[in-house]
Amino acid sequence: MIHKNLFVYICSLTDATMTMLMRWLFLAAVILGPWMAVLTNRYQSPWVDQNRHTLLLYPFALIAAFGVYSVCVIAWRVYSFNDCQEAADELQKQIKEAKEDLAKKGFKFVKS
Amino acid sequence: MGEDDAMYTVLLPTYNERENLPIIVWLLVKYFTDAKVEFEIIVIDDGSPDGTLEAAEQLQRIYGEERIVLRPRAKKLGLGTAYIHGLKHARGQFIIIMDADLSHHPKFIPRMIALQQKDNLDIVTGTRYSGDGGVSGWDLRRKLISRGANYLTQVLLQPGASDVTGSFRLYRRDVLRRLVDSCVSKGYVFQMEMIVRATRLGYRIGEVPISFVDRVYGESKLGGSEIVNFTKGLLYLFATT
Repeated sequence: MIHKNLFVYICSLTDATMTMLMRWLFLAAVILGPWMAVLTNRYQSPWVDQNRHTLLLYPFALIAAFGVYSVCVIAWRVYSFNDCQEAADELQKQIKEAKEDLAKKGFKFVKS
Repeated sequence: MGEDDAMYTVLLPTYNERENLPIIVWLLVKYFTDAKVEFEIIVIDDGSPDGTLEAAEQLQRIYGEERIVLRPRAKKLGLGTAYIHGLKHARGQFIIIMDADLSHHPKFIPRMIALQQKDNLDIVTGTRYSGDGGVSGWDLRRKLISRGANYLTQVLLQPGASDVTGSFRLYRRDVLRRLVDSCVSKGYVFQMEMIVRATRLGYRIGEVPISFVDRVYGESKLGGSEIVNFTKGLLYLFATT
């Protein structure tokens, strides 16, 4: 239920009737606002001037990190995707059982 | 009203399921009877040319008109309207929707019922993606597309369920009614829209891992147009929910 809690948390930060698009735009503004300020030199401070290069890169670093994380998560989920062979076998058995029982009860199967 | 004597209605939209319908009905009867639960199965056939309705009529003779209810339609209309059509005469307080092609196994229904009662849930959805849920009959490509699409959906929509395109679900009757009335998408995007809107409306949703047996995939590969439709649906939901 992590998704639900995360969603509830985001809702609590913004009005609950906002759409996901609005929320993402809000998030983008929060992340890119300071970045824009650094880019356009609106915020003057020695620390900002010193680290300007690193600061300008941080949204790209976030996107790259998210990309790497996503690839890892998807790869892991594909790898660990359960192959339900027993379910397929069980179904085959039950199909036979059902056909026999239904035939006894008078069901007419059409041979195709 | 004590929920021990609640009744469960299964809505079964069918199209060309003459071979599978008897099996799925037999399995439903078996598992509901074992669970000692009141039930009815509503078959909504969209004018199948292969004789599905005739098979349903035979089943009705065998199991009784109280158990097997027929609500056929003249031609193939959407899934949403099939649910509305089936709901009109449904007697159950809880509605189960599932596929009639044997990809969904009725053995999971008692687990959904139990979870719903335990946590007083509005919706219980089957999931192929968590717990010991899974799929039989998918190759690597299909699994990759499935997991990738689901991941994208989770990130963009925060849907409140791990399997959003799944169509094996138990709904409280008035919850289903309300959701079907407010959803406009088609096909499996419709199922996505249902669960996303349910989360937005604050309904309590629980999950039961299910095994999905796909015997059809080999014949119909997941093609470009389905991917395009999925993406369009995802963007639509992203902008409107």
